[in-house]
Order: sequence, then C-alpha cells, then structure tokens
Amino acid sequence: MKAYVLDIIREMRHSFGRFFSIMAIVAIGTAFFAGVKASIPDMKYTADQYYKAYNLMDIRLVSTMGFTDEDVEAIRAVDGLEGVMPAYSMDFLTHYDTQQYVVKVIGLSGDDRNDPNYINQMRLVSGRMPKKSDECVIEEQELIKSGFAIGDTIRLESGSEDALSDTLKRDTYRIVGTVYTPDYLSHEKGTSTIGSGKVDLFIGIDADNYCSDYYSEVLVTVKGAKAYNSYTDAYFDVVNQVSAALEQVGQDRSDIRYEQIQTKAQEALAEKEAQYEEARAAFETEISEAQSQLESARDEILLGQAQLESGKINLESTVALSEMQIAQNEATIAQYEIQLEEVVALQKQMHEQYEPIIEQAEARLKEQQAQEARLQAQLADPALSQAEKAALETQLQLVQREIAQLKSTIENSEKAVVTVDEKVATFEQMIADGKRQLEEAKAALAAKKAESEAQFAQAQKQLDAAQEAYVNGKLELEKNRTLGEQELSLAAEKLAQGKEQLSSLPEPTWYVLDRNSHYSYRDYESVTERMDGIAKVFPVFFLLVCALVCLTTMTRMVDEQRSMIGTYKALGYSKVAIAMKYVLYALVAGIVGSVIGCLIGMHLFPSVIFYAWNLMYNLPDLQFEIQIPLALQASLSVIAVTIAATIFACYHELVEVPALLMRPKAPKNGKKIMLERLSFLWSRFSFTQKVTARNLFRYKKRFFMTVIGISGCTALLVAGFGIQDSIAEIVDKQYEEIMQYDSMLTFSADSTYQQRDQVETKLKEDKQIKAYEGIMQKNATVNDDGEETNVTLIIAEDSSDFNEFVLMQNRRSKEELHLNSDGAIITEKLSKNLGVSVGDNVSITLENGQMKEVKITGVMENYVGHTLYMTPGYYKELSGERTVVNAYYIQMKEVSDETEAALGSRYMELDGVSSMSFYSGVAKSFEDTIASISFVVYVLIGAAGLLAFVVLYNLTNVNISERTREIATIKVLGFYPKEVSSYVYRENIVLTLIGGLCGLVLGIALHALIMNLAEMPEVMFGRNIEPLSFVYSMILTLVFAMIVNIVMYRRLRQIPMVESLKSVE
Amino acid sequence: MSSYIEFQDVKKIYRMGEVEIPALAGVNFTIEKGEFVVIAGASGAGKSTILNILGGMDSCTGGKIYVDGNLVSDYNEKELTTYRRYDIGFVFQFYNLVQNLTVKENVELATQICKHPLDIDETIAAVGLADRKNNFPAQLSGGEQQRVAIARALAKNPKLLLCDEPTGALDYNTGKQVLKLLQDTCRERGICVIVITHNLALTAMGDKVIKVRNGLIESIEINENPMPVERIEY
Repeated sequence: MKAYVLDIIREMRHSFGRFFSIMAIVAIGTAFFAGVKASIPDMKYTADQYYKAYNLMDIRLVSTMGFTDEDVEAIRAVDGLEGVMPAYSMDFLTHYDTQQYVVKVIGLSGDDRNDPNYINQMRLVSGRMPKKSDECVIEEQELIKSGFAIGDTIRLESGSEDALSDTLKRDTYRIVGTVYTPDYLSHEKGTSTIGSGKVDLFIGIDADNYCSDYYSEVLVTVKGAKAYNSYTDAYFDVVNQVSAALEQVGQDRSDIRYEQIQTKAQEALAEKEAQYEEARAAFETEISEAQSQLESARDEILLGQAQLESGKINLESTVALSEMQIAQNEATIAQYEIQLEEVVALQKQMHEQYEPIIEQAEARLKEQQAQEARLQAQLADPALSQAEKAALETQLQLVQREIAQLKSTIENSEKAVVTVDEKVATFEQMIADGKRQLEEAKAALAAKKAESEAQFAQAQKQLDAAQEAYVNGKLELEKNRTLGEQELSLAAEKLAQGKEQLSSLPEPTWYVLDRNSHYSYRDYESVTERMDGIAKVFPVFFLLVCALVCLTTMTRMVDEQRSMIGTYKALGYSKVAIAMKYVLYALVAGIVGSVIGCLIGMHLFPSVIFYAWNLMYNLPDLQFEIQIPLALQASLSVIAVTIAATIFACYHELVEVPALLMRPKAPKNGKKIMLERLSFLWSRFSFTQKVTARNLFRYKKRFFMTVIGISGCTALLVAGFGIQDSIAEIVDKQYEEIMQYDSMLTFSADSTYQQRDQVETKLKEDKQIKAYEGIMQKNATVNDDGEETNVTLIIAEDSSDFNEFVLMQNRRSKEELHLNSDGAIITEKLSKNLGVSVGDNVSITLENGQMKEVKITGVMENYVGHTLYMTPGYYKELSGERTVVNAYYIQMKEVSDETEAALGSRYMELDGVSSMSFYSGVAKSFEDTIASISFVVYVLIGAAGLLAFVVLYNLTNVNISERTREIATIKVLGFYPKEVSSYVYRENIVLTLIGGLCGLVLGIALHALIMNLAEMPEVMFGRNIEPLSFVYSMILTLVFAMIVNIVMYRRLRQIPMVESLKSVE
Repeated sequence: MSSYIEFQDVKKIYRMGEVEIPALAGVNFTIEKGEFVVIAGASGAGKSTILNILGGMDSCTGGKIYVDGNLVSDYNEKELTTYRRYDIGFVFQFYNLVQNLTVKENVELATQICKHPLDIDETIAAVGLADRKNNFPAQLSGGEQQRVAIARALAKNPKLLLCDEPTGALDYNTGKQVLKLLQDTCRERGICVIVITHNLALTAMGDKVIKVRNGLIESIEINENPMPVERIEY
C-alpha cells in the first residue's frame, strides 16, 4: 500500500472529529436535498400505485345526453380496452340535523376487486360493502365530520325540479361501511348544480337502485396502461391512442343519438301538442258549459223570484179572503148569539112552565106506581075473588092508564124541555163550534201567514244566496277562464319553447376525459409541484452551508498541515498528488455522509411531507420509489461542493513554494478597523472589548461564515414559528374578525315569498337573535388561468350596515371598504390569482350562463373561499335581475351548542328553510385540519437546531484551533479560565447576535416564500408572524449557541500552554 | 569545465504586500560533484534562501542557476517538481516527518515516487534504525527522527543532498552522529552534500566552506584536508 495512501487513511482516523463534522454536514445536506426532492416522485408513485390497486379509470366518458346500452356496446367494441364500466352517478340533497349536504350518489355494480370491469373501486375503511339494495357506504368522515356514522340512515331528497323517484327507486339507505375512493383524493369533490353548488359527500349504493334510462358516465381502463406511472408521458402515449378512438366512436354515436332524440322529442312534442289541443277543447267546452249552466241558473233565479212574487200576492189575496170569511163568521156567530138569547129565554119559559107539571106528574106517578104496586100485590093474592080481581084489575088498569098518561105527560113535557134544551145546547154548541172554528181559522190564518212569511223569507234568502252564488259563479268563471287561458297560453308558450329548443338542440357531445382532466389527479400533482418549489429552495440553502462548513474545516486542516505540505512538495510530490490527500479525505467523508444522508433523508422527508399532506388527502400508506438517479444527483452535488470547497481551501497553500510553506503562516497584517477612527468611542473601550472588535472585523471570512450560518438557523426558526402563526391565525381571523355572524340561514330554491316573509318575522321577534342581515347568494365562475374556478356572489340587501356582519378591510392598508354601486369588492386570494386590483375588471360567468364584466372597487382581506360582494343596484346592472333574499346572516346573543341546536330546530321546521349553518363547528374542524401542519414546523425547527449546532461547532473549532497560540499566550499571562473563554466567546456572541438579527429579516422572506408555495388554491394563509415568534427564534438561536459554547469550553480549558507556544523556528 | 552546481549573480527579493525584503543580493559560487559543502553565516544572512533555491523549493528573482548542466532557474513549476522528485534529497532542521506513518513508511513515501531508489531496509539499517522500523515518529527521539529524515533523503538516491541546520535541534553527541552519517554518505556514495549551519566549528569538516553575509557571499574557502567529524570539538 502506498505510504502516501496510508497517510490519508490514518489521517482520517486520527482526526475523526473533523472527518465526522464533514460527514455530518454532507449527510444533512444530502438528506435535505435528496429527501425533499425524493418526496415528489414518492408521492406520485404512491398515488399511482393507489390508482392501480383500486383500478382508477384511465378515461371517463361523459355525454351531454347520457349513455344508452347501445352506446356502451359501441364503446366496448373499441380496440385496446381492458375494462369498461357504465355507471350511474347523480347528486342529491340530504340533511343531518339542520345542515344540508349535497351528496353524490354513486351506483355500484358488484365489489369483486379482481374484476377488470369494476373500475374506480371503493377502498373500504370500516364496516362492510353494501349487500342489500337498501344499504350504502359513505365517504369516510374524518375530514368532513358531517355526523353520519355506520348504522345511521341517510335520506335523499331531490335538489332540482325533477322528482327523486324519476331516477332512484328508493330514497332511504342504511350506512353499513365507510370508504375512500381513488376518484377523490381529498375532500374536494367538485361542483354540483344543486344545493350549495359543491358536492359535500358521496355514498355508494347498489346500481340497481337507479331506474334511469341512461348511464351518466362510462369508465374505461386501457390495456397496457398499468405498465406505466400515470404521471409520466409514456402513460399518456398509450392512453391517447384509445382516447382518439373513443372520440371517433363518440362522434358517431352522438349523431345516431341525436337522430333518436330528435325523433323521440318530436313524438313527445306532437303528443303534447295533441294534449294541448285536447285540453284547450275541453277547456272551451267546460267554459261554455259552465256559461250555460250559469245562464240557466240565472233563469231559475228569475223564475224563483217571479214565483216568490206571485206567492206573495197569492198569500195576500188568500189572507184577505180568509179575513173576509172570518169577519163573516163572526157576524154569523153574533147572529146565533142573538138567537141563542131568544131560545134561552124560551127555555127558561118552558122550564118554568113544564117543570112544575112534571113535578106534579112525577109525584102522582109515584103515587100511582105505588098504587099499582099495591094493586099488583093484591092481585097476586090468590084468595081473591073474581070480582075483586076484576075491580082490582080495573083499578089497576086505571092506575096503569094514569100512569101511562102521566108517563106520557112527563115524557112530552120532558121532551119539550129537552127539545128546547137541545136547541139551546145546539145553539150553544153551534156558537161554541163557530167560535172555535173562528179561532182555529184565525190561528190557522196567522200560522199560515207566519209560515208563508217564513217561507218567503227563506225563499228570499235562497234567492239571495242563489244570486250571490251566481255572481260568484260568474266571477269564478271569469277567473277560471282567465287562469285557464293563462295556463293554456303558458302551455302554448312552453310548446313553442320546446319546439324552439328542439330545433336549436345541440348535438349531444361526448367528452373523453383522461386523467389530465381528473381533478384529484391534477390536484395531487399540483401538491407535488408545490413541494418541488420548496425542494428547489431548501437544498440550495443547505448546500451553501455545507460548502461553508467544508471550507472552514478543510482550510483549518490545510493550515495545520502547512509544513507537511511543504515537506511533500520538497519530496517532489506534485500539487495534484498533495491536493489528492485532502480531496480524498473530503471525498471519503462526503461519500459516507451522502450515503447516510440519502438513506435517512429519502425515507424521513418523504414520510414527513407525505403524512403532513395526507391530513388533507386520503391516500393509503406511502410507498417509496427507488430513486437512484436522484440519490446520485444529490450525493454528487453535495460531494462536488465539498470537494470544490476543499480544493479552494488547499489551493492557496499549494501554489506557494515549499520554502514558504515550511515557515509558519505569516499572521495577517494588523490593521486599524473603521471603528477605531471614532476615537471618542474607541477610547472608552476596554482592552478585551477592543480585541473583540478588531477580531470581528479583521477575520472577514469567519465573520461571514458565522453570520450566514446563524442567520440561516434563525431564519428557519422564524419561518417555522411564522408558519404556525400564519396558519393558526387564519381560523380566528376568518371566523371571528371577518365573519362576524354566527350562523347562516338558507332558503330552499322553491321557497315562496310568504314563507320567507314568515321566517323574517320570526327572526325579528326572536329574543335569541341579536341581529340579522338578508343577502342573496349566487354562484358564478371565473376563468383562472384556464381553469374554471367557483366564486360566490354575495349581494347585500342593506349595504349600509353590512360591514357589521362582514368585516371588509384591505389587509395591507387596514382601510375599511364599503359597498357602493360602482362595482364589487373582491377577496384577496382571488384577486391575486387573477392578477387584478382596484379599478380592473373581472370576467365572470353567471349562473344563467351570461358572461359579464365586474369592476373591482376594493380588495378585501379574506382567508377562505372566493367571494365577490356587491350591492343590489350593481347586481341589477350586471344581470338585470332583482335581488331576492335567499339567505340570512345571523348574529346570536349567546353562542353555545345548546343555543345553536335550539335555533336550528326552531327554524328548520319552518317551510322554505333549507339549512342553517353554524360557524363555530366549522372553525373548529378547520382548526383541527390545519393545526396538523405543525409537523412541518417541528421538522424545520429540528433542522434549524441541527444546522446551528453544526455550523457553530465547526466555527468554534476553527476559531480555537487557529488561535491556539494566542489563547495559550493569554493563559500564560495569567487569565483565569473563565476570562479565557469569554475572550473567545465574546466574539461568538456578537456574531451570533448579528447573525440572529439578519436571520430574523431573512426569516420573513423565507416564511413568505414557503407560505406562497404551500397554499391551497382557495385558502389564503395569513402572512403574519407574531412578534413573540421573533423573540422565540432569537432565544432559541442563542440557546443553540450556548450549548455549543458549553461543549467547547472543555476544549479551551485543555489547550496546553507550552506545547502551543513552541515555535517552528 | 563547468561545475556541477553553478550560481551566477543570483538575486532573491521577497515581496509581502507592499513590503520588499531582499534576501540575496547577487550570489555567485560553484560546487563540484561529490563535494561536502558547508554554508555558514549569521542568522538571517541568506543561507537557507540559497539552499531553498538550489533545492527547487523557491525561485530566484534574478540570475542563473545550473545543476548538472540544467538551467534550474528557468524551470517552471512542473519541472521544478520533477527536479525535486528525482534529483534532490532534503533534510530539514525540524525533521518534518509524517506523523501518521511509521519510520519505514516515511522512507517509502519518498522512494515510491523516484526512479532508482535505494533499498529501504538497507537505508534504514544504514542510519542505525533497523529495529525501529515500525515505530511512529512520536515514539522516536530527536536524533532518531533526524536519522529517519536522512534515510528518507538518502533512499531517494538523489544527485544532491541538502541539509538545513540538520543538527540545530540535537544535542552535541547526537549531532555529531548525524554529521558523521552525512560525511560518510558523501564519501562513500559520492553524492554532493551541502550543509547549512551557523556553528562555525563545523566548517572544518567541509571540502568547501561558503560564508554568507547580508545576502552576499563573503568568502569561499577550500579545505584541502577536511577533518573527520569525530575530531571536531565544539
């Protein structure tokens, strides 16, 4: 083994500290360089592996008219396809408590993961896949936290005019599992035409639940595409061929379909027209019928009225007649009564006449009867003689004759009396009867009168009612006629419209969308691109530090070995050979360091970065892609830098002649520093202070190295803390300062004026509500660099107090902005994305498809979402539409879970209210998501500490080595160890302070750079760095410096006085 | 006949920033092959400068230098390195051994790059350090270290052996041992040996004595009968 090589090896072993520090800095530099850069391919690889594992489609076909089975067959016939899956997917609404969500309902036809036709497979997270048609799986809720969980039921509602049952067989599903899908890598699921305009969740149900005639999309995988990483060009080369073929198919099928649709539509139109005609005819008939009915009704009324009149007249005549009769009868009765009187007188007479006669007769009769009886009794006696019997019998006969005479006298008298009595009675009876009859007749008459009156009244009432009914009927007829005509004309209009639409019907178009149009694919790609941006910045920084540390270390080494180099030169070794020693030394350290750095860095950094991003994305575990070229590139760059530094360090020595090398290096000329010119200041310095000042400014290389290293450390700390500050504060800023309302109530699209009015009344009276503000919320899109971005238009009903609900101020100038009718106020991030400022115009596309130019009157601070605020007047100018309040911002008196729940339930049950959002919950979940980016922050702090440590350690090392003689001298002079160390450390501290201050400034720039790179498209991170963060950064930097100083203190103490002072000469 | 070594009006001026220091002001001398030359003079006279320039370790700012027919003063850097590699053996006052290498390896360091080196073990034995071959310089005394340096220089089989105050760091007896070695080498191998010293007593051992003063040659003396080292007392 060549002696010279042995020297190198042994050198490495003997000065292991030095070897190690080079190795360490190379390892750190490589780790950062390779690690951060490696994360990009790793992330892409992971995503691609995920796509492959779960069979993400290569091409998605959508059509303006959906796909029929024939279309699908045509697709299957195309060459080069591996799997074809026609699918249903449609958006519906659902509610959980008071919150409305837009749900994308995906139809699943089987879950056999080995089936190549099962495309866009679901990744099961918990529970199981649906087995029955009333089951569903829902998107894993970690990020969205809607509240839905396994076991819950979800009820879907239609968000449009079409009924849900047109498309789905059932509207209620039970959740049996949670899933992710490679189709949506983040919570962003695109826009929707219903509800809030954004898809919030997706669920997967059995495709049989769809009863639509058309498939909404066809998913396709391409044969051979899986051999490539879909983020490479080679993949697209394969896919594009199939895309082209599919486009052709699409063209053909579109034509066919167009024909089909036209025919069908024509038929339907004709049918509808016929229906219309029928309806019209029916309408006419009905109207005329109704008309005639009314007429006859009128006639009847008139008749009735006439009848009533005649009835009334009849009654009058009858009454008059009856009254006449009654009068007659009364006269008759009076007559009778007179007659009665006469007869009564007669009666009296008769009685007076006959009664005594009768009495007499009766008495005589009695006597005679008694006589008769006696005689009979006597006769009965058998002992009678015939003469006696004959005498008795003659007596008896006489008696009997008298009796008979008496009896007849009595009888006749009684008869006469009775006859008179009877007559009287008869008269009386007749009179009584007559009277009674008269009363009856009177009563009857009265009754009849009353009855008739009542009847008349009723009849009149009926007539009046009939009249009213008639009038109403007439009005109603008119109304119905008008309405009917209106509807008919509307229908006619619709028919006309339909005809027009049909004639101007665009041909159905197929869109063949490959992964370049896939949102999640592009989104994740842009994440990696952002990391790429960061990856460009950081490694350069670390390379610089690496170069600095190597330079100082190797310079030190070369200086120490100065005479050795001279010897080698004297021996006849060439410059190259001598330089080789140091180059090899650095090279070996570099190789070992870079290997370690690559191994650690290419696993650590991608993991950290991937998992930090995966808090917002839902990919499965990170997969590492072996990246030899990158490792080589990183290692070679770092090693090259190291060697360049080494050569630079050696160079000066190597060009010197051996003679000079063997003498000790001439100390740098003492020179006055600028500070000395300020003599009044200089004279006040103590000796040690003067020495410190001189040393600081004389050794410029050391000065700059320390300052750069330390400022880098502080900058990293500031950036780290700043990131946390900026991100944490946006939640507060957005949801407390800017959005000063606690809740937003939204009306459904079909709410009526009355319903809304009712809600407003309730709001006004509600004691738990402090204030409310009506707004109209509309969706629009802007063209942002070729991409269509959603923006929300908010039109404030009352722009004068709108600022109390939404704080509109310019972030930089803090100037408060007010709405006026000259234009709109735009949110800051959007203005930045579009590159517009006050006075510029922005092109937006309204919901109805119109494109309008909006003038910007102010740029407001805002962190979440893209919004344009304007007055109703300006909106009318833009769109021609009137402002109709469709939502309210609400400020609550007290915000808590209970009050929110109470408020929610109170309003959700009112008709027309679609949803109520409470922002306390939103703020909290956003906080959770964002706060996890602390990972990155901790890594940065760790890196900063490491950097500081290595740099400071190295520099202190160098410092002490170069000044060994100086330090030994002051020891000999009698400085205490503490004084000795402060001699050295004073410079360190001043340099650290200067470096720290520079770092604070540098950190602001670094922080801004990182924030710019790491931002999500619709979120603007704050740019704030809390003053406290600067303090922490400075303190931490000083702490790191302190640690190094403590470690090096021992070395200082150990500097041997005598050996150090030995001279070469 | 031209001499083996010839210095013709050699000047050397050191420039350090704005400061100019004239070390040699016009030096002339010649040395023959196989001569033992002693260059003497007070400290700072310019002795080391002459040796350094002769040994290709420094360049002159004026004049000509011939060594074995070659115009060394015109050499460029590469040629100087080659010159040092093959033609020169240098012994320093402070030995300048490589601390990381053993005695043997230190000698190997020199022999592995020259054309016709002597056998290492023999050379080491010749300086009396055969049993210390595998020790590191830190384990040797000053004299032993100097002997290693000499072995190193010798093993190169150079044309010239240049020694800058070889005994400066050694005691009386050790110094004499070293000098004896040098003298023997000169006599036995016929190598030109040039020794710098400020000890005038040693001038007796040289074939030629060159006295240097203030950057100029004060005198060149030739000793008809150089004294063997053992007999020199100082």
